[in-house]
Amino acid sequence: MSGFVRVAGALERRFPPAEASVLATLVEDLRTLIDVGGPEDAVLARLAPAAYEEAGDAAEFADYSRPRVLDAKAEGAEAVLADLAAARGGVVRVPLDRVPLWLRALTDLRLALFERSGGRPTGATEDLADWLGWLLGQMLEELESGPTGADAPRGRR
Amino acid sequence: MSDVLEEQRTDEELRLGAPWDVVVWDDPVNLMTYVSWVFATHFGYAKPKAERLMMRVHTEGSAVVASGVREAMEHHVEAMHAYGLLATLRQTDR
Repeated sequence: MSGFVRVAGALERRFPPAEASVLATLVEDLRTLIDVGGPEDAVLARLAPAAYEEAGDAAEFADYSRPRVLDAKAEGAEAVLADLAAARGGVVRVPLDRVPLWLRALTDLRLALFERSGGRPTGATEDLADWLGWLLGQMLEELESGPTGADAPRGRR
Repeated sequence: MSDVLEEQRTDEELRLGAPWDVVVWDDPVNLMTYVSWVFATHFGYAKPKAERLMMRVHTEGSAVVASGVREAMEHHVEAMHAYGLLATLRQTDR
C-alpha cells in the first residue's frame, strides 16, 4: 500500500476506486450527521465536547462554540469530498494548504468510528480505523518532510 | 478617550490577575504525531516543546498547554475541539 507523496505544492496519492468510495461514503455520513444530528448524539458530543466541568459554564460555552466547531468539521469533510471528486485517473491531489483540513477530517472519522463502536472497534471497523490512522500519519509525515523536488530551492538537494 | 483606555487597562489587569488554563486530555484515539502537530501548528510552539507537551498528555493523562485571559483561552479550547482534541478550561491553581 503506497501513501501520499509530496510533489510541488501538494500531496498526491492514487486511490484505488474501492478506497476512494469507502472514504467518500464515510465522509458523507459524517457530513450528514453534522447537519442533522443533535447534541445528544454520542459522536457529535465527542466532536464538540464539554469545555467546562461545571454544566452551566459548559452549556454557555457550547451555545456559541459548538456551531463554529461543527462548521470547521464540515469544512474538512467538504475538502476531502471535493479533492476526491477532482481526482484524475484515481490520483487525488491535496494542495498543501488543504492538508490540515484532511488531517482534521481523517481524525474526525476515526473519532466517530471509535465512538460508534464503544471505544473498541473490531473486525472491519477496526481495519477501517487502522487504515484511516495510517493515512493520517503518513500524510503528516510527508507534510513535515519539508520541500522536495520542485519545491526545493534551486541549487540545493 | 484616555478615560476609556484607562478603563480597559484596569480591566485587563483584573483578568490577568485570574488566569485560566487550557487543559488537553489524553484520549485513546488521536495519534501522538497528530497531537504534537496540532500544538506546533495552533500555538506556534517549537517542535521539542510541542512533543514534550504531547508526551505529558500521553503519560500523565492531561497537560496544561496554555494559560492566560479567559476569552483567549476559550478561543484555544474551541480550536482544540475543531482539531478533535479533548480540551477543557479551568482556573489556574495559585
